[in-house]
Amino acid sequence: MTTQGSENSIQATLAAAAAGDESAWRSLVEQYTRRVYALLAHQCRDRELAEELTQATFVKLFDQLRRQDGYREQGRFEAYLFRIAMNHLRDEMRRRKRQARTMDVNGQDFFIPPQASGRRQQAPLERMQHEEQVRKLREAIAAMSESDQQILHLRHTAGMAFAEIAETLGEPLGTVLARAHRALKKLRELLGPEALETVES
Amino acid sequence: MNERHDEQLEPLLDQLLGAEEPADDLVERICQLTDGPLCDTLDQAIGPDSVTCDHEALVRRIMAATSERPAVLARIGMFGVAWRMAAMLAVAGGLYLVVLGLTGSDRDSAQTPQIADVLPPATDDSSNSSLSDIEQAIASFTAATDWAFDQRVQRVNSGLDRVAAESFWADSPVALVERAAESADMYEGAATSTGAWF
Repeated sequence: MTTQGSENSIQATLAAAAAGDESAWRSLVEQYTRRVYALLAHQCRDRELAEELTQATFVKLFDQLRRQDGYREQGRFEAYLFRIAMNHLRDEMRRRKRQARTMDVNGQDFFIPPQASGRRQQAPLERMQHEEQVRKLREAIAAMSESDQQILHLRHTAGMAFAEIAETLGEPLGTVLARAHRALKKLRELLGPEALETVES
Repeated sequence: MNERHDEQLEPLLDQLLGAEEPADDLVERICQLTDGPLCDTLDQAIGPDSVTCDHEALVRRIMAATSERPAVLARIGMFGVAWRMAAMLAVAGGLYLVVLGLTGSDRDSAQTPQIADVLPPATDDSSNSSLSDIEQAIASFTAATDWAFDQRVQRVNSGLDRVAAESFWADSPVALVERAAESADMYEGAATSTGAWF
């Protein structure tokens, strides 16, 4: 979730990359690859496809930056970047004529186990409990509608601010906030009071 | 806490629904109420680090794809120019052939000598024509026809004049000379019969 200062810094990096500065371009790629990939991977449930689409997203951005009449700053860069990614995903899904949700959502090779992504060292019992919570949470999210999943992924996987999500989806900010709130409410219902208590404890 | 938050949030969200630019403090309050312990766990469950990815390899792949990009685009650009030039030449050549095909038959008929142009008119005063005049006329006609024939053969051989090829045998010099010979016979007969009168 970007602040004004970081947004200005991104604009400077973008300008340098557009002028042909390779290190600036690499910095952009390194900064955003993980989030773009994660968003695409969660949406399409296909690691290879997510990698291809991530590459296509950055190639598109690169072309836009290098074109004379290409990228024009009209809003937040992140909203622009994630919109490219989601457009690529939508086009690919249409092309493949298949539903993203048919993939194995709990595949062991797809999600990183929680302890590996956790920031702090945990005791074995605590770690097991945490793994169980995360697993239940993922299962519950997988059971939600695509629309609800989308808003949660844009918020938590892509790490976007609500204003950026609104810009990406082309929806009013109020609508996005309401959608996010109702998606979380639905998630709590799916988890059930007991699981929710442990997740939120 | 959720029910309590929902009670606070629902009226605020109803206010916000459809609002393009809601007040910042209202948004901030809703964000605070929306984001909670569940969201912290969500960040871990579905955050950027939640899926397997060789991040370094992906960055290298993107950098390779984009560093090759200008060269590829330049090559495509050069091919594009070459293709455009080739297409323009093809169109120009096609137009030339079409124009040649349309005008070729008319030009040939204009250039090909006609027997009537070289033979004395077959009128009543044909008695003034001698046989040598007729032979000379036929000889000059044949020479002119040979030239036209050569021209047409060249055009037919080069494949440029389809119309000429189709009418080649119909207008062949052999046929023309036969017609000339018939005319010559007619004049010779006329001269002989006229001479007999003198």
